[in-house]
Amino acid sequence: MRLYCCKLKDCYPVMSVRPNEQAELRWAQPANFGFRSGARNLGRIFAYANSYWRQLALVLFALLATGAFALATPLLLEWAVDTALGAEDGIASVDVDKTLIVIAALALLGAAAMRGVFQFVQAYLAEWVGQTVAYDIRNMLYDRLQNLSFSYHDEAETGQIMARATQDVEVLRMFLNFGGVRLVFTLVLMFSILVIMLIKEWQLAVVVWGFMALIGWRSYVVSKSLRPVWQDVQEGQAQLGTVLQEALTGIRVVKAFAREPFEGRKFGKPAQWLYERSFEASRIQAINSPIMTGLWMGSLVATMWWGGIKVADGDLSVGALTSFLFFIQLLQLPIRSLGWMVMMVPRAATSAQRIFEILDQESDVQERPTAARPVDPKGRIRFTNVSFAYDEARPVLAKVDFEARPGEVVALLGPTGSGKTSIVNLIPRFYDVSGGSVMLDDADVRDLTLEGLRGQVAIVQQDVFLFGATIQGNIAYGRPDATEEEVRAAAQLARIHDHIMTLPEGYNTWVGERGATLSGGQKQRVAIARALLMDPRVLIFDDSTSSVDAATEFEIQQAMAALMQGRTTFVIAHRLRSVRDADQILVLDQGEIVQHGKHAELLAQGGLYREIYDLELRDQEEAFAAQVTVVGAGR
Amino acid sequence: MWSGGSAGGWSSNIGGGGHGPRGGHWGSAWGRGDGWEDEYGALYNPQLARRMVHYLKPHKPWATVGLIAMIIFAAASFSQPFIITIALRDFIADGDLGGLTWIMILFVVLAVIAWLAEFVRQWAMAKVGHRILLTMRREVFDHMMSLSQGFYDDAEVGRVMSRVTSDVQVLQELLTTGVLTVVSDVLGLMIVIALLLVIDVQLALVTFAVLPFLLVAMIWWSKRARVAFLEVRSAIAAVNGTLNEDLNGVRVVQSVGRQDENAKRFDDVNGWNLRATRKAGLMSAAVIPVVEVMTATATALVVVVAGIRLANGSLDPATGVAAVIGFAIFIQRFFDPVRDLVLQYTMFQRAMAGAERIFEVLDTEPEITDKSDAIELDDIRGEVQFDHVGLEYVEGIPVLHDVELHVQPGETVAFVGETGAGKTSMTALISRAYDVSSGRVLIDGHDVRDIERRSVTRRMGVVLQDAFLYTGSVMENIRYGRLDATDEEVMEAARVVGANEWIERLENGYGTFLNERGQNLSVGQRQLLAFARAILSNPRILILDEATANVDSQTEALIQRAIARVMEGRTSFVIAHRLSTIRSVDRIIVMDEGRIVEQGSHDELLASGGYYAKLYEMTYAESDEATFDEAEALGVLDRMRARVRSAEAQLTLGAAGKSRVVGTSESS
Repeated sequence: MRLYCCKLKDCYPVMSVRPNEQAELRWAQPANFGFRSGARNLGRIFAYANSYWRQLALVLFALLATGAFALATPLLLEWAVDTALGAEDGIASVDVDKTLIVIAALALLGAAAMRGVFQFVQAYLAEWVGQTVAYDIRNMLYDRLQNLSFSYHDEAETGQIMARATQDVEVLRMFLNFGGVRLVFTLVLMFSILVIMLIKEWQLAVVVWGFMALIGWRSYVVSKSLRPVWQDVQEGQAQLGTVLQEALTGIRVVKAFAREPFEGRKFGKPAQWLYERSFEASRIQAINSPIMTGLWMGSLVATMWWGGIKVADGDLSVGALTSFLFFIQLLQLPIRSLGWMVMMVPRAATSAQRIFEILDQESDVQERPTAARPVDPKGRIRFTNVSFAYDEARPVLAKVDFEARPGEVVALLGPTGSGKTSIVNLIPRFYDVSGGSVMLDDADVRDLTLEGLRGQVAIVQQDVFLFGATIQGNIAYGRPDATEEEVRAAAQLARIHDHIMTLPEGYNTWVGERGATLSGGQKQRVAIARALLMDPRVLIFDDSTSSVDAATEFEIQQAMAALMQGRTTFVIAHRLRSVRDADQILVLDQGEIVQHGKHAELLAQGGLYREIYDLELRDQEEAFAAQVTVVGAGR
Repeated sequence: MWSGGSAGGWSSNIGGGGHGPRGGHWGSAWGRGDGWEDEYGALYNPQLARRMVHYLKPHKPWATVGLIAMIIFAAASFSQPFIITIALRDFIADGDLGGLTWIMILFVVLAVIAWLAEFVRQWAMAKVGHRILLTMRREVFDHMMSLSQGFYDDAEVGRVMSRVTSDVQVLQELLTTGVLTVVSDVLGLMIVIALLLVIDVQLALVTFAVLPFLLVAMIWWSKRARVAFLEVRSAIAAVNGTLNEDLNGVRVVQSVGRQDENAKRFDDVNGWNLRATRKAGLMSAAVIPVVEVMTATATALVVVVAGIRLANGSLDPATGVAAVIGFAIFIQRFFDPVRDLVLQYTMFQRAMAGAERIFEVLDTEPEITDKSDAIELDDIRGEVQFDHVGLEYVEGIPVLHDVELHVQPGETVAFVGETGAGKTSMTALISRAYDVSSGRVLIDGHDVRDIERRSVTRRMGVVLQDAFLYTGSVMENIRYGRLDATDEEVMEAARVVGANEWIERLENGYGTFLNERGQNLSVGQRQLLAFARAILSNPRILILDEATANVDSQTEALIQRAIARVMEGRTSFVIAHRLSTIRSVDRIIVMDEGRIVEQGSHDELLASGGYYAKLYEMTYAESDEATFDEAEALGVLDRMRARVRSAEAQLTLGAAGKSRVVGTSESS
């Protein structure tokens, strides 16, 4: 695959070894916004590039110098042929001046050297600026995404965001380089050549430029008609990728149902479509690229024919004819890539818009300017008449009122979707309440700094996310400055130390997506160790599932006991033990607290708690009783 | 021309899609470059080449047409400067306008031929190229699907994916664009050399003199450039990997307040990428002046030598002037193929490496295939028997030892044991995801290896811990269990497992589209769909491998009730940890280290006070035995607390009022 990165005759397919060549072909979504907003978005991109105005100025200077020396070569050749070789009055009789010949040769060499140097400066610096701006944008995107509240990430698809951070940034980088810098250069070069040709031989210039205009127009038309096709191709690749990924990650299911042929057919469909659309793209190019080559040859033939007659008649010097031939050569690539470069502008505008959509996104959870850091909080949590909705149409919590005193254990119980998780998410302010208030000690959580607040609240989830890092790094994730000794102590208390020591590289064992696999229970204990190091006043333990065997469950309970000591704890519970021993139990239904009290009280009350107990917990109670009997009998 | 008729790109840099080292999250972590694959192979491997050519065979006519067109195009276009030279020397010099007309007509004819040839070449290339791509993709994919479970146990999805995407692409480019470009360049070079020699031997030799220097420079450059571009690939993969991972873990990041630390680390990787790309940019820019100077040197030499010879009178004026002009034009075209060839060199190496990886997959034999005389069973009763079964995934490391088990049709059996006891291996053998190493697994008295696999899976339902849903509608996802099921049958299956109600409440009911592996459903809902899928085929054998492990107890209770109905009359194998699930089965098989150590009902096993009773005891027994010094560990954390407190106190004193605005940093 070769792409234009060209200037002049030095169309150099260096891009063919670039990792990002592919991004080149990924056309952004069609622009569905006006010219003005597109211009504004591009303006903002240039504003970023503006911090590198020195480099840009140098690029511009180098561009103009390159152009000047590029124009020099045909003119020098003309001079060499006409004057140094003395062929001005016809080819048949020459009058060679040896000194001038050497001068002409040196001048040609010098011009080429200068052109090369300036081209080097310009190519390198343009790339420099493009890459640096891409670097800046990536950093900004990353910072923004890291700090956007949960509600943003609930809606956003990782794939979509990744596409913006990769393809769209790449399009902008290419745009700064090719759409911006090169486009200007190409236009300046074309204009200069046009003027020179017009001055020297205006009729010939008109003929040649007729051809050039046709080529430029065709190239624009082709770029435009290719755009939707490339979009299809891109879409086809995405679909193919999805089928592929799913078939491979779900291979156990495929095998279990013996659906291999079915998967093959499923894969075949997008593959066939991709084939058809790719072929269509090639077909358009197969028709058009020869046409453009043909047009260019046409201009060459016309020049040669018409110029030849004039030279033969003595109306034109042979050197001038030579310079014309060289100018045409010089024009070939810029004109062909012109359409492509022009198409780049709306593409870049679209990409810029997609990137600014993220950069301009305001987090729902904002820190107040007066926010203070909580100092040595006790860990009392009070909900006062709290209501909450992810969006206005779907209220999730209403009239939630309760207080958890420091060190208490609060169990939350209720059917799926009753609002258990929503309540605990309000404590570290992952979302903001819609009404009422959540207080840590005596401060509204909205009056605290996010960093300070979240430093006091730790969450242990059942579905633990491990980062691609060592176990050590994962445990110390919330406190990167923790010493090895501290990490180890936390791991011991979390009852995961012994297991870590059985791993080949101990604490340095790599985990995460591509690392060693830990079981659900092991991951959970890593998360408990992580929370221990955070030393929070408030602890949230999401215990709604149980993918662990008996032994593991036992260890988790021990780890939890270590972690809960002296901290206010919220447990989303389904284990009898957590519920029975809790200081308060909140029974939730459809976003409201329907029952509130201790195990024995609630059991006596009947109601939802009783139902849940009968359905889910009694089994455990009975098993417990039976077991006690067995153990008792065994002794 | 600007995409060479190829099918466009598979980006290898999206979301760490298989390439590149690990996310590089931890400072020097990307030094663990073991995720990196050999990007470049040997230039030419005859065995691989033969196999690749095999793909061209079905397209022989078109490939031949393309090749011929390419030769014609090369001849027609590379001879243009020659025509210009002849026109100048023989006609324009003498003022022979008639001759000029003829040669210009020839020029036009050549241009038209070149135009047609170019058209045919591109058309043929597109036909062959995209066809090959399609064929190879489907072949590799189908082959992958036929590979046994064992292949996937230690294969990374991202890496396997890149076989079907990027590797196939590189190979196709080589077979079409690559080979043709090389042919065309070599041919063009030969034509140019011949024509230059025809015009003037001496000037031709002067021109050729520059060639070795250019070649040496290009080869020297391409080696260094390759290293630079390789680094760019690793760097951008690290950037995207980090971004992707931190996006997925953003909730953890925010809850531990690690944004600043992460931003620093991201900046490290991003900065690495910046430096790498700048270096690569330097490399690709550096070659420009070299090529410029080489080209100009050749032109200057021709001007000087021709000038001196003209002055000496050893060169005829018309020939001399025409030659200077012709050479000047030729030299431009002469260097293009040379540069091209050097670049193709790199591409050949990449393609060879890609081919090697593809053939590696294609050469992997599926371990489990139907025998040619496999029995096709119309129906099965569901009797399952393990007859002295042994299993080794890796030779010498047995996971099952001499297992004996006989399960009657309709019986429900639960496997219990610690992680690694061999529970999942037992169920995997029934569905023949693996083959036994010794002994036999019998279904209805037939060795599973003698039965056509499809006739068993057709009547077998499997539900795994992770309900795998496909991008598609709810209806399609359930129907995966039996492709010819009607809509009514699908809905009936959903009703049986108790999913009908909430499915109908979804935005588009059964037509609701599930995105990214069904992320818009809760875990419990996804699992219910998996259940519906499993019973759609009205299975005789049902395997539930920790099927309810990830759902909350309430959903489990729902599922439990559905299962009780579903399991009736079917042979069922259950792996579960929850007592409520296990207690109700006919028989509990207790496994330890690949052996069946106990079996019986819940009450029997408890009463016997054996391994099961001990396992059971562990869940509820109070015990605080610690294998470490708890006081000391607590002491360490206390000291840490003190350290952090004092640091925080200072922070509060030092930065009173200056709070970091997390949500609004850097807003415009």
